[in-house]
Amino acid sequence: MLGISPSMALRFEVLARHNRARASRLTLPHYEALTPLFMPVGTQGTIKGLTNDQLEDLDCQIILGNTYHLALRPGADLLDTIGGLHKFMNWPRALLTDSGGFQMVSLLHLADITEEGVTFQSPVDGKPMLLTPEDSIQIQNKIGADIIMALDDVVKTTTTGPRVEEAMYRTLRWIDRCIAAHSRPHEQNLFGIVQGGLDPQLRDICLEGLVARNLPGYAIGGLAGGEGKDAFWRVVAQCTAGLPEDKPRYVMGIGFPLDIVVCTALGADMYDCVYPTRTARFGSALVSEGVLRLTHAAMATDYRPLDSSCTCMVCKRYTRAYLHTLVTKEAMGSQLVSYHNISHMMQLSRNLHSSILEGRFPE
Amino acid sequence: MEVVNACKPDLWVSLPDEVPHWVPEKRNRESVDHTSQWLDHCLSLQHAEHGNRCLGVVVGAGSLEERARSAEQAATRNVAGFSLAGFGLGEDVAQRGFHLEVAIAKLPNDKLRHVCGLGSPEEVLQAVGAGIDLLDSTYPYMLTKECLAMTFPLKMEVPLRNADRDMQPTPDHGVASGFSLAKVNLRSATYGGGRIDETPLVTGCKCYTCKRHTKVYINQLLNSNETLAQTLLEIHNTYHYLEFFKAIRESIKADKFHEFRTWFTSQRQELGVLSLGNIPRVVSCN
Repeated sequence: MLGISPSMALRFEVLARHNRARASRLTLPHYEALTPLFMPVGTQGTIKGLTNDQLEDLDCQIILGNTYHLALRPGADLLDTIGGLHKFMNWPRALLTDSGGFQMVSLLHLADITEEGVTFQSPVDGKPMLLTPEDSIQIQNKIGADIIMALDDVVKTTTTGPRVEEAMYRTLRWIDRCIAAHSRPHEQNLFGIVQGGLDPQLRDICLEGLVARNLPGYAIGGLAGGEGKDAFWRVVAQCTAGLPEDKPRYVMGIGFPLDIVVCTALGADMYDCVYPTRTARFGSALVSEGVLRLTHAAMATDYRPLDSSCTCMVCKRYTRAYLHTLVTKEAMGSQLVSYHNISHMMQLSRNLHSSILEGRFPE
Repeated sequence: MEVVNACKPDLWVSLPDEVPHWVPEKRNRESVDHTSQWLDHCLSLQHAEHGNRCLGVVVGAGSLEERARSAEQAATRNVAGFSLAGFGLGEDVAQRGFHLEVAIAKLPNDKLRHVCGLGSPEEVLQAVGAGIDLLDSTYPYMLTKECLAMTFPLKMEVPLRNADRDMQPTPDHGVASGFSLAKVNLRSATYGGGRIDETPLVTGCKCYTCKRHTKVYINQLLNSNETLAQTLLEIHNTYHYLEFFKAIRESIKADKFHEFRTWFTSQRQELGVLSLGNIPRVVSCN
């Protein structure tokens, strides 16, 4: 397989730099991606209404699947029997799965975290259940994504006090359990997630601990949850400084274009967020000037495309006025605006990569 | 006509005074007269530069006499074709046949004949057999809405029945064994709990969905309430339906339409599919 050390299944080459920003090539088992890269979220085996062909047309390279949802339906064993999520969805490029922990804690009413794992009430029959680090990795091994995430103990950035420290140390203990449970290190890359809240000392300890485990890649977690912008950027900067140069860095849950640009400047490579597709379903389009609310009455007679500088299929064929009649009423409205919004994010990714490559990142 | 002139369609249907079949004779006669008058009025309002794109409506409700009279009147107008109204409303199949025959007998051979309200394969075959050229229908969409995939065989030459029964797995929920050849119920619990079906909706179908995806995947999308499910199903159902029309056209060209129609309806009957009236329902969607 690929990679330098036996527990890796990727190759990461930095092609160019500008200060701390990097333009790189990330070679994964199923695809060769270029970073900085936005990864759309596909939750249950699809990205809201878009076909695989459309995703390829949009230049999506890595898409996310949510382990929690997939484990519920269609189930890890079914995916295993079929040969993995790639085969099930017929997606020829790369996939990344999260650990399932975050979704549970945010979606389930009675979820709780103990040293063993995440305890929760089964959404199917209400029985008490437990997701351990081992369970999470085993499920992700069956799903078969190119990149899998360690189960971490994530707390909201607005949390203060000893809970933050507890979560950070537990994350380190859990990474060892994840590594031990990982049965496919040559085909799937296990990324560790740096926790520690907004506390620089805790973040440092976590960084040291994870880097010592020599993982294929690292994520910066626990952000994008209501903290102030200054605190957010400071933590990202600290983490990128503490992570190895020659491995990919993934900031989880980031989707606002400005945030992506800043994080890139600070040395991050990969991003994911439901924002572009979610905001599309509410009728908002991402355009060069900002966010366009298509539900606004003025859109009814606006015959321009969404974004005059965008070359995507939606901007070539449809007007704001037409989309105004569809959004929030017809499924196609969501699909078309989602299509454009993803195009916008992928164009941003390409611009970041090529501007760093060509030495004009500051512009 | 303001709307017609603003939209500039390739074809448009004149405004009829359509009545249900149970109205008294007098009212029905009025409806035929109004329909002709309104046709003339519409024609007088159409923009000359847009050309002749009118389909004149033929009404008649339950009366064959009135149907013939309406068709005669429309036939004298300078239109691009005719649209036969009042079908697909639960009428008796034989009656529908008479009405189509009687109307079309009065219409010129060199102009389009359109009917709306008919859409099931049997209805299409009946209409085409009577001389109809154009149909619009929501049949594929009605199937998609019910999570059903269109799977009826299209090729007369291939001896499909027994071979296909072996090829396509039959869901184990006690339905008539040939059902899988007509429609596939994708919400069936079988796909999750029992046998995993990794075949496409129709083996050998060249549509986007069948070239790329499996029944079990589409089942997953449906159960997760993902809109992609409807998109993929609708693509297949529309494609399959259009292939049906292609098969009809080819049979006509080969002078084998009657044979095709007989083959099609008899194999549907053999499969236990209700072939009369509205949308055939073999399995209810749970």
